[in-house]
Amino acid sequence: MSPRTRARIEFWVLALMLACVILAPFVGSRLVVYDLTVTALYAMVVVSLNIVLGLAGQVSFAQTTFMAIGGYGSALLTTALGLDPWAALALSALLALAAALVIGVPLLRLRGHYLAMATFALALGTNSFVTAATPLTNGSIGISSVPPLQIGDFAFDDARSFYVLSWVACIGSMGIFALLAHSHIGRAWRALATGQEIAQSLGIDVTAYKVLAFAIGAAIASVAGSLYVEFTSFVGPDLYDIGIVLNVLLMLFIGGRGSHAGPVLGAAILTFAPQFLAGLEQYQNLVFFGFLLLLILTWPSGLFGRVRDSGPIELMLPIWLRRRRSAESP
Amino acid sequence: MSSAELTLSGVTKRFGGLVAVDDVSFAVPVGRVHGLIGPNGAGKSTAIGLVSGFLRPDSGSIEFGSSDLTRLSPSAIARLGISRTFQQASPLGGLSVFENVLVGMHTHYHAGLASVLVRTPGARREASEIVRSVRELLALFGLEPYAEADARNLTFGQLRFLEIARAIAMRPRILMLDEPAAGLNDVERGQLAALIRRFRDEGVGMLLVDHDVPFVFALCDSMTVMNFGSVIASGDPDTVHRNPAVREAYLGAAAAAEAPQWH
Amino acid sequence: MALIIAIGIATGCVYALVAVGYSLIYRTTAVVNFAQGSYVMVGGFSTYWFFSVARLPYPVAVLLGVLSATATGLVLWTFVVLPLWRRRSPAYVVLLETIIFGAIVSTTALIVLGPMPQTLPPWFPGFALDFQGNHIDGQYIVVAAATVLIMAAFSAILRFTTLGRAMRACAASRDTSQLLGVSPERVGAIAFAVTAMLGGFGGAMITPAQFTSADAGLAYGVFGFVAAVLGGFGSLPGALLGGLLLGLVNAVVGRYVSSSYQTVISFAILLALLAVRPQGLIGSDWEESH
Repeated sequence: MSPRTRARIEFWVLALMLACVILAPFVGSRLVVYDLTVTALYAMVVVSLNIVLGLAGQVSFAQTTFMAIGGYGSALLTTALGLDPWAALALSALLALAAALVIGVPLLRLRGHYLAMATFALALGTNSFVTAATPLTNGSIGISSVPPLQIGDFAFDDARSFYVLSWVACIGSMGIFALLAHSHIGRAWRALATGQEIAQSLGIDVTAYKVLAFAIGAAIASVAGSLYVEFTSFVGPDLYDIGIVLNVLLMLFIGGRGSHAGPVLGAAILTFAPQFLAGLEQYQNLVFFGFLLLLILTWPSGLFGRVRDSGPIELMLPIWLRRRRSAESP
Repeated sequence: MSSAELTLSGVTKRFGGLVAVDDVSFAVPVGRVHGLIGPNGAGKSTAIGLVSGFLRPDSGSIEFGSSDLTRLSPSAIARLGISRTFQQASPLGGLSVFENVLVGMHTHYHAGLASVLVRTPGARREASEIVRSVRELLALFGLEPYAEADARNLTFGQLRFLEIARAIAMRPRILMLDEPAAGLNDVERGQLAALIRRFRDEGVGMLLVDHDVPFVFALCDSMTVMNFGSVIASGDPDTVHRNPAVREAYLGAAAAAEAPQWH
Repeated sequence: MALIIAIGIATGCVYALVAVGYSLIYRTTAVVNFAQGSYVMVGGFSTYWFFSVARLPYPVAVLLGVLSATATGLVLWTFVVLPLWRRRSPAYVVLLETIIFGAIVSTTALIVLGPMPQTLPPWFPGFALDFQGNHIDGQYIVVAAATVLIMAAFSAILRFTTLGRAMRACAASRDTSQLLGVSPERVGAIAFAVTAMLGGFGGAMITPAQFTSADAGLAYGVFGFVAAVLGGFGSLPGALLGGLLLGLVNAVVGRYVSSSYQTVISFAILLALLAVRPQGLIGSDWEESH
């Protein structure tokens, strides 16, 4: 399938998704609207990861850290300091940006799985911290009664209005992604992801660009985190545990790294799928994880992925089991 | 001096016990081609690595104009106007041929993050200018028909040309070519020579490193010969051609007495 | 105080066994295996099952527990890491898959063995030390002694046997060692089996002194990793040093601050290390971007 055909299919899939999103509040059940709101907010986080990992090729597990900054930031700044929820959202995003700069500069010197481990540690550490720092975060009980976002007299405190807000934010972040991806900034990211030395030899300050991706990703994840907390009026450590860390990464893998439709598709699949598994009760997690393990093993590029960094699947079989192929390129 | 020059003075680089580059000095003026030849392992690629900032010399200085390159990062050196090709023609995987050259023009973009996100008219104009330049460059290298192809699918010769197109897209003042002719057939070699002459006439200074000695002799204005990390001869091609040490390095002592044809 | 030190050293030994696992696997296969902690859990928890549920004699139960852990390691290698390895998948994809595998192992343990934490009888009943008014459980001493013996034996094997040399060759270069007749795939399988065995043994040893439960694997995996980085990732003496240090830190934090801060402080140490001194205390080679 040529890239042009793939792009065309992706475009129509996006159009179809947009149609579904517009129609859902009118024809869908309350549960569907709720799930789609959750999908939109997670898709936003996946878009942020798509910038860091899908474009710039930096393996970061730390989007939940920035979600937590956004979520706890919004909750604390509004309930404890009485700030306007919009101001809290903006301030939290700035905080996330600052954190990304402070953390990113030393960590982004690391490569491959070292960066992965460091950011994984950051994500788990964030979860541990918000659980342990009870005086600040109220520990595992969390913070509730977070005041809703308002414009004038209109409050975003019902399902429908928040649905619209979430999808506007999500589509906004997808727009940012598209603008960046098609610009020289996006190309610089893709260049450093695939050939760091070549990129340097062409004048691209690799560290600066990595930090830029990390920072933009952090800001978007923080806004998503704030919005989620505004949606449920509640924040707690469970929102940022290892399951979520894995979920976000898997959403991106399933949807396809580097693609436009990938984040929303992946988020939708992983939000709606558990409901099909609900009947399995205690085996639900097992089946889920098993499926994901197999999926990444056999199909690491995902649905619309542009990143092809694993060899052909046949290489996984022992030599005596591989079919003899005639001389065609994979 | 009005035009800048890339100067290496007394540069030495050791890898453990091996002295890869030993007290090497030469200069590449802007608008001239300087050849660097020598048998395998002579230290030529190490020299390019040192200039481009991927390696740091143990002693000696590398300067371009008034800038000390040994203190700069590879990308900073590139932004000063010094670009290079790599010995293994490495296309940026996953990007098309067009995009590869477009990345080469990265330093021409002045639009910042905000301009990109808001799509200011200035940013858009800049982008379309650059796109036009890339098309011209691709045509010059005969790569236009393959513009949309994944760069990894090109033939060997085309990959070489892409490598050079990408490096020249930067509009460097100094271009370092690391074995550009290796593996090219006669036709391609001729095309490459024509391109090198064209760039020299346009004012680009070039450091031409290659094994194909006649190729280098025909193109360069001055040259340096290295062996086992040291300079064994330098000067204009005729002088170097007559130097017995050079012939000995390539052909062995017995053959050094004879006079091979270079042209 | 003496009790804290004893606890610190004993848990530190288990961290060290996990850390050795990380370093050995990394050196021989260039993989960071984040399911390393699961072996500790499997070792302890399945020993519990063989002893308390299947009612087998205690030594037999321990042996089977360690074997279960070893089997887990081999399953991970054969069905997850090896296929990805053959396919030359990027390192972080392998890492992600090992994390998922760890989650599968703990979920399975939860289903099979239930959510309750369990413990085991001490190895030498009545063995205890009374030191300056502290009653120190003898099991801690067992753990420390056994770990030292295992580490010594391990170093000897690596240095003096053909297998050990093969492992060190693979650590240096996978493709070259293949050309020299060493089978990296077999070395990888052995590395996974051995590190799983070490971890499982650690689990079987420490469970009598502390409890174990289905989700214990993640904590050991994390602490073991921090210990490995602290000592110097890839260095075996570093693993022991890092393990002991971290064990002591955790014991102190657990006693004087709170146990929930143990993970926070460990992560803080890890991040500080990776940011400032990634090669740890002893380690020398460490990849960094330019």
